[in-house]
Amino acid sequence: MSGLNHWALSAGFVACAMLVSGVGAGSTEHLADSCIPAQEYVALNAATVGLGQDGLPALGSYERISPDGRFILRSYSGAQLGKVSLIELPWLEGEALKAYPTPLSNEAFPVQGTWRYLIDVNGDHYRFTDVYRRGRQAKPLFRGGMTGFYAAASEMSLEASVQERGGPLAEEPTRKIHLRSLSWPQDADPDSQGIGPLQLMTLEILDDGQSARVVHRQGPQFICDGRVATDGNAYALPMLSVRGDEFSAIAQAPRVGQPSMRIYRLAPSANSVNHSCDLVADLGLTVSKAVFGFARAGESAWLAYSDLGNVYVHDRTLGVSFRLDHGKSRVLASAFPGLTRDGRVIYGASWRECADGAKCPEKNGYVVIDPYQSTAYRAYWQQQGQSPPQSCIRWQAVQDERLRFARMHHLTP
Amino acid sequence: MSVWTRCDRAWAWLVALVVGLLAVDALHGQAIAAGSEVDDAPVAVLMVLSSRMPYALQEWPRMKRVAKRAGFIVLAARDSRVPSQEWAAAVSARDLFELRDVPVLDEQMGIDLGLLHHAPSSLVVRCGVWHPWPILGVMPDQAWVELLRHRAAQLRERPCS
Repeated sequence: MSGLNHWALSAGFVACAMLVSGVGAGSTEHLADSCIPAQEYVALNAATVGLGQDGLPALGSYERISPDGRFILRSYSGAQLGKVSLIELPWLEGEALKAYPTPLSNEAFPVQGTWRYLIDVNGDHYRFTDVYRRGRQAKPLFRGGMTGFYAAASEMSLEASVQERGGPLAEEPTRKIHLRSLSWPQDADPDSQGIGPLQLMTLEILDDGQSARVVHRQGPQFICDGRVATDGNAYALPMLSVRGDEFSAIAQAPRVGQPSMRIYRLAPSANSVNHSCDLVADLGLTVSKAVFGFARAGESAWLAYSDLGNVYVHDRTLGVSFRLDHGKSRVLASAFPGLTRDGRVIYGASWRECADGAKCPEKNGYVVIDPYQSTAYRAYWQQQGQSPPQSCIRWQAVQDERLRFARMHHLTP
Repeated sequence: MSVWTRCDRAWAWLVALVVGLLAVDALHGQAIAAGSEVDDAPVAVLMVLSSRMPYALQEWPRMKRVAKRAGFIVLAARDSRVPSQEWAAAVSARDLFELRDVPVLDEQMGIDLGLLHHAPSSLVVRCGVWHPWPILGVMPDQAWVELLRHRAAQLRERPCS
């Protein structure tokens, strides 16, 4: 972590530890209420991740960010770590970034929302904690769901169950879990392909915390055939929302207008087979993959995307995108970013500490951004003559998410 | 579609690309001769590839084969953001030696034509006119061919100058 932020991290951890132990925030309360840094740059080191072919610490590609921002699942991890590794960002002052090998193949992906499972490209579902603790020795629990191009999955029951209980996740006995997955499989039945370009499947899982099995499969089914007349039948860069109730994609050959990144609605119920694919948002431009954040009460989930090396967040309530600041020189995002539940944007990137390449060699690592503190976001609200609804992300929110994730996965916070 | 892209710089670059690739890949001639998608002027598809997008190299042989079968000249270029050493290692690892020496996409051209949002990104061109809508990503055979034909049909609505 940046040295400037050590005090904040230390204070944050103290407050976090106190929360874990049930001790009141006491004198650290004001620190928990302070803003996180606007930007942090976490450099990778070669001893941990090995060297890439460019002679720099291997950066990898296709990064997926955990809901609490603690972990990054990344493909193309380099010779030292193998295809897919799990990166754990530092939390304590002086703590080093950690990397763990996994048994997964490139473009393995997490179940969004919870990271309860990590899914290999053949459909094998691994428990996250098993991969975290056992690395390559981890074993799959079951196989299922969509595979193929741009596969993504989300846990549908999470938000509903959280809302029902009126609180965050806690340890639970055997429970039913619904996983919705979306992809564009190459081996789809060509006779059916014309009725809809994307396929969707919902699995019902019974999980007792040790074992898990599929008890019901719904699909795969083609979706969005009703949109052919306006959006054509070919989409690019599909991504499922965290709750599985929307997806983003670029209509490649729209009958009306020109290609742009659009958001479409899916049935919110896990058991529904009627997906309207109603258009709910249109960014109006073509960008790289648009990744969903977590929806807040009464608002649509933000999106994060990269565009030619810059990273943006899109506030769907405002219909406005905000470019995030670069705190270093020549920052180049390496793949699409992710949003944590508390709103941070995290992405892999290369950068230099200064503009002079001779004095400042290139570094690879991860960038953590508070979008609410970005110049563009604040300028927007200043132009409106209003105070922004949120001025920053506070340590308390970050700690809460870290605790929530740790409790769910039985990890040390 | 209201915006059409005629970029002399890009066209010169493409000509060089075509000349270079035709010299090393006689299959292009066969594709033209097959002529299923070619009338008075050939239609080419330029695929910009990156080793940092997992499916791009993996699916290149299939997408190239399918496009050629549909009558398109298929050209490849390397995303300029991929270092040459990394590229060489990646194509060698997949035995894609045909890609080892493909031209590097001019970065500004890539930006101008919207080719750098993803890989592979494919642009259809006919007699110097680029279709303004890149085809982003990999996709199954049927969708791939349909999109190529969609772009080609719109390009044929414009006469070659």
